[in-house]
Amino acid sequence: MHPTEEALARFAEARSADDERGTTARHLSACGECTAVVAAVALEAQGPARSMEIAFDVLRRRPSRRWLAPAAAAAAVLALAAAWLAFRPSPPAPSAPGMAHDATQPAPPEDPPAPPAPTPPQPDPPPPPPDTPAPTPPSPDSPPPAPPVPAPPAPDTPAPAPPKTPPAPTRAWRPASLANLHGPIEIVGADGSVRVPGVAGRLRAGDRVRSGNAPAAFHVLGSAELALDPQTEVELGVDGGELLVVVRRGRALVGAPDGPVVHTVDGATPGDRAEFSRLRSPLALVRALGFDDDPVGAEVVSGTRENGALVGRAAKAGVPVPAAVWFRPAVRGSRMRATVRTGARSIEVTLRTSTNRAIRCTLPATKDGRVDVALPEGEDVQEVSFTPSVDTRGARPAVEVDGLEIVAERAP
Amino acid sequence: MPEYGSVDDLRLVRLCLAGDDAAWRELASLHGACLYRTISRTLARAGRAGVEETEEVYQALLVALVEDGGRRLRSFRGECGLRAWLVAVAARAALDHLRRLKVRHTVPLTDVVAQRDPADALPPVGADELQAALAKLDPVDATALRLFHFEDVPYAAISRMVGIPLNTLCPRIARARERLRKFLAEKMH
Repeated sequence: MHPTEEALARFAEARSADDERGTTARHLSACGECTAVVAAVALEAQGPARSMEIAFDVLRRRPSRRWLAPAAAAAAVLALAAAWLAFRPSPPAPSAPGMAHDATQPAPPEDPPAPPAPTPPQPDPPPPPPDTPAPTPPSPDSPPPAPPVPAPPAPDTPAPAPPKTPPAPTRAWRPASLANLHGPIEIVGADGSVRVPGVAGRLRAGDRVRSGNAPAAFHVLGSAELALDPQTEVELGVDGGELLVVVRRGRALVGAPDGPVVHTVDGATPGDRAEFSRLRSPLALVRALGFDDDPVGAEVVSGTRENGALVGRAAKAGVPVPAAVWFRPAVRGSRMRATVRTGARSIEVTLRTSTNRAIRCTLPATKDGRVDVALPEGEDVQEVSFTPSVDTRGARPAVEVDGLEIVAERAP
Repeated sequence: MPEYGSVDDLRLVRLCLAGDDAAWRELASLHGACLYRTISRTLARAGRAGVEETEEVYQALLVALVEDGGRRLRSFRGECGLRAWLVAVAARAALDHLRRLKVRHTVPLTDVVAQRDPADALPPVGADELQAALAKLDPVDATALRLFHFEDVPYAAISRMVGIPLNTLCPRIARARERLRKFLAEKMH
């Protein structure tokens, strides 16, 4: 007898009472399907630091005809009403059955930005009203700004002046929830600040996002941020309905609005692709970029900011190296630590920087397996690998890495 | 349109069940993308990443929530978050779909069994042997192993779920892997 969805959701949310938790855990220990359900809830709650999943407003699409036939009138009203809501910038009128939205029509190119529809409960600052300058997006290093809250006018003050017409963007763009993403999307920097809408939904290949002359924060559904360095150019594409980001040049930092950057992609070359929609760990990204063909060697479980330092911890062991982690340029005092178990007498630790420089050191294998390496100042280490020395038979023993941890002191 | 900005889950559900169109729209707006994402992810893990199939399951889920006066939605009692419940329902719907298609969710054994010196390498084990070995573990350890190795749930989330502190969980999972390896090795020999 499987637990109810509510019981499984409670378990995933860690809300189960003690006895229920034990019962559910016992069931999960033998039931893969229920485990998958629990994992789905946990991963959804985990948020973007764990995986960059891109959601789609499927309600925008025309429902398949066969689903309109049966008692799906209510579902069709729901889907069409939500689609109608998603595309209309003005307050919605009551929907009508049979009012279809053709999602394939391209949008007119020069429409001004429209106010967003209600967004999911994510820490997503709303777009500023048109008469205020676009806010300077946070740099990847800084904590996210609080959402701007316009002060209400005092009762005796005259009505506010009508909003100024914003300068027409070079190309059209639309806020996330209203975006007709079948047309070109481009973010153009102005006055040192960049207004970047979130993007959700299905994109047509060739849609482009380009930052201006200042770092930009590119919200993906408000649940993740792709911070672009100046002059970074990315191209958004679709593959099987999932969002792809092609880093054309420059650096892309990916992280949660309220969390650290957990992925840094450097040295991407044209044509490299990062499948953010399937991303589960930085190494999936590495693999997607062709930097590492090997299976996952280490996995950044979470990153936290401690006293200004970016800390990434990799905790998955038992898989062959190389392991790969990313962090920003280290200053004096930064260290890499891991527990490395091997039958070899010594281990060669290789740190590969973003400029493809290899820094090597050879350490004796210790009883407790602890490795503690000082990182070169100023180096932006992109990959760490551990190579055991060969034994007397000329064979190279296996090596197991656990608890890989980078403590990177941030440059002032 | 009425604003539901801070309405709690139960109130939203009540309004939906009362036939409030705006409430249904709000439900879809708040949770639709996440449900689609859950279905897409669940199907993708079984090697079925087609958009058409995902949309089919998603639409079926919407219909199931709405039909019969919201019978499915009526089963939500508010003893967990609404989103969490909806995600669980969506995941279950995707798994039911896969079961109907007789698609098995597989996990590479290398993710479960630690790599060792080739001289000590274990011969391949089948899924049944692995399940039998898992069944010998403490249920909490087996659950933690499944969540971590089969489902990629991070340690922090597992720690909260099973009620084991994080700094205890990691070595516990490592010990559980060792025991699993021993069970499997005994089975092979």
